[in-house]
Amino acid sequence: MKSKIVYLSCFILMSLTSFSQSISSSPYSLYGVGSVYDADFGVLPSIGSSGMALPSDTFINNLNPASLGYLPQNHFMFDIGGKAISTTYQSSSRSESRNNFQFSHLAFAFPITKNSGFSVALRPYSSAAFKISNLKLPIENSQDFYYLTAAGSGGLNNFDFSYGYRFGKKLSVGASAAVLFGSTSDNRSFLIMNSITSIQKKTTYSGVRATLGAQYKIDSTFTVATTFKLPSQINASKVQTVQTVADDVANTVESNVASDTDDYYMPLEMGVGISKRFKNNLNMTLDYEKSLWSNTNQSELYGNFVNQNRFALGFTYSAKKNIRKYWDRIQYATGVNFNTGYLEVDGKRVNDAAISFGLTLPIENTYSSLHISYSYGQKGRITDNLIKENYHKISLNLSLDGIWFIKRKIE
Amino acid sequence: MHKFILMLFFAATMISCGTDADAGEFVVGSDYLAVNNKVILIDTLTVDMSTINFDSLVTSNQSRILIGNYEDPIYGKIKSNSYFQLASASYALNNSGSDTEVTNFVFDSISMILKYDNYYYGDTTKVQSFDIHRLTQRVKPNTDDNNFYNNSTLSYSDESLGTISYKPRPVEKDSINIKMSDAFGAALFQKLKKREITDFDSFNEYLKGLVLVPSTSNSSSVIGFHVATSKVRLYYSKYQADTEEVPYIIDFTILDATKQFNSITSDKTGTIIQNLPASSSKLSSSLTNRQGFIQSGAGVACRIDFPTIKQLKYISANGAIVDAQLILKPVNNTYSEKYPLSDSLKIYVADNLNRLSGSLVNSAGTAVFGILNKKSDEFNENIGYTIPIGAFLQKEMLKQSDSRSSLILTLPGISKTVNRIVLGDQKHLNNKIQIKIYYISY
Repeated sequence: MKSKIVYLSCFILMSLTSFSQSISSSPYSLYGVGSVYDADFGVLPSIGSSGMALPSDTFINNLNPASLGYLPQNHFMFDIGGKAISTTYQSSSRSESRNNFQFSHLAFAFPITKNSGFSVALRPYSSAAFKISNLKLPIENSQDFYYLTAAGSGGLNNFDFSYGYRFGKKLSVGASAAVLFGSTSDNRSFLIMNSITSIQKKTTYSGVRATLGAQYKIDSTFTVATTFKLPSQINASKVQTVQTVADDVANTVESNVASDTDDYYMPLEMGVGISKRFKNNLNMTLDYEKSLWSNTNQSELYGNFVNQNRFALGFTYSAKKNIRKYWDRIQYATGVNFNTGYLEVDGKRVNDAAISFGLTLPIENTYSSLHISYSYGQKGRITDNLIKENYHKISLNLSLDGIWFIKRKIE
Repeated sequence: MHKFILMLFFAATMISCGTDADAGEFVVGSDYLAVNNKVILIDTLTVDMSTINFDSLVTSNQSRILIGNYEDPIYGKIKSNSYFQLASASYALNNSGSDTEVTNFVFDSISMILKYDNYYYGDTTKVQSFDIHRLTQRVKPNTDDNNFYNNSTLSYSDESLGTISYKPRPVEKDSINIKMSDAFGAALFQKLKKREITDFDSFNEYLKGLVLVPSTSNSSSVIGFHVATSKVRLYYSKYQADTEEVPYIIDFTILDATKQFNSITSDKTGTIIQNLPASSSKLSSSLTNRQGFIQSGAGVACRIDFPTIKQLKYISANGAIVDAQLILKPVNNTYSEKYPLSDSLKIYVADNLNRLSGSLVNSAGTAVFGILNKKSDEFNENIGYTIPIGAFLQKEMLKQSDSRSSLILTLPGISKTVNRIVLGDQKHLNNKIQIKIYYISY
């Protein structure tokens, strides 16, 4: 146990340091507060990120706080994940591949009473990493052009606290508070005629967002669930330096000037999901979520936001013939996910579709397991102004389970 | 097994820093990029043009003897007399000390040698004539400072000491030689021979200076000569009965360049700018056929104002002028081979009363000029002077006080040439001013 705690604290430290490095660079990160990460726990990446109606009994289900009502008593759960992503960016004229590895999440959960549980999770929310080199752009009101070079970095993190409570055997409700915090840096330089203007902007965000969730067991094999993510305002403030270089002399227009900037608004998001088990070894999950981005009246500073629909469907299968045989305890999973995206770029939506496969490998004779998932997806499309991203993603989620409050006889 | 997997994750978080380089060639939604920072061209800023008149230009110590006159189809008559004081390195005749030798020296001749300095303006195919007169007053300024101005004059005697009518060849030839009056030369020689002139003071007492006065009847060009190498040369020789005469010379040159100046007068009667106001005022281009005028020597200059510059502050909450160009076009048919366009314009910054505060500078503090684009096309549309005014306008836009600076355009060598140019204003039919202001909001 002691060594486990040492490992844990090491983990937290490591993860926090890698947090500050936003590494997923995408052309779409230019918008909003960056590209939103998917950082789902446990088996969820394998089943297309569906599973709003699943209980947190073998892993922490981050999709619905109500699931914490099913935390097994005296168990301490810990979940950590990482992803390896290989993305090919395609425009009508060229394509380019980039690989990266990123931290996905760090979470733990424990029961408070026999029918309530609590979890804390830390995960990246978005990455604002992008890069633009010498992009030729028209100067408004003229035939001339200027050249833009830009680089973005940083992103937002999500630190959330969830609580779930189960009423009797059928109904469970939950709530969570997510603290969104972080900062994005945006450095641009404009080559305009014979001058270079550089604008360095660091925007700091902070805000809190609440999520409410419920799960209801209709019978032992069928559960329905719903979640409401409440709209929220993420306060933004910026510090900016503007410099112009003309005739080889730099002239500072403003230096580290702090000012308020338009706040970022999170929408109301409503989701429903079901989970149905067939023949005791095949489980189907189906989620639908609608995000009302249009109603947020987001500042045009962040881009053009539209309502988003997200559909997710997943299946898990485990043989469970012989519990003593390791290979029989392996769970197989597959899923699909489609979302219409909340961004509209040049009048076109940036949708995202993915298919996933996964394995859950049990570790020793505990509830602990390693979830390996592979997914392939496409985001955006190739048109005049859009880029298509084809990505292959391998997620490794480690769900650890420790029996708490019971002193082990043998360490 | 636990530990092994933990190690694996450690490794994963460690290498999460490493990623492939992003070349930055993929960009979506270039319109969106302009939301935060708009880059716009402003070409509608009001530019006012007017003509001003400097009442006096310092023309002494300019290292040029400017002489001639011509009648300009636009600017009227212009004329330049050149005054100077002469001196010599030595006032002794070439003797070895014996008086007997001196008595043997005889005067031969005297002439003025003027070295072309390649400057000319007007029609050099026509004959130019001028006379040399003797000053009856010393070359000494009337003003407190030690300068002579384009409107300074000195009195001189009517008698001509020499005259020349010639076709100027300022580029092909090296110099002109004007034979001067023998009586004048002989008298000067006698003074030297009798040692009545022994030093500069006694020489200057005798010959206060000379003035070159062009004939108003038949000159149609203005020519420049070197100050340092032009001279009056007196030829004399030693008389020896038996052998050949040995020639000697004594040169009188303009040793003190501050004692040389050009008196440039212009007669604008009947021209469009005949009623130029006082030097602290201006004549709007709306009263002069949408044109602005510059004539060196005569002190006519063009003034540019930006009356609405401060309004650019309100284009966006925060914005900066990062670059700007003012393109001034010479009016068609006001220039020709005879009256060529200058390669550049010299620009000063001045206040509302035309008081100059210095040259127009760029952000590095270096003086900038209006540079002529010579690429000519069918309609001469591209011929114009481009002046970089980004740094100036940014400063003007942000200036706290209500005062506005204006730009005064002159031609280089305003004090020692008679070049001129006619520029169109912002509403001129064919040769409009163009302004290009590149503005970024942040």
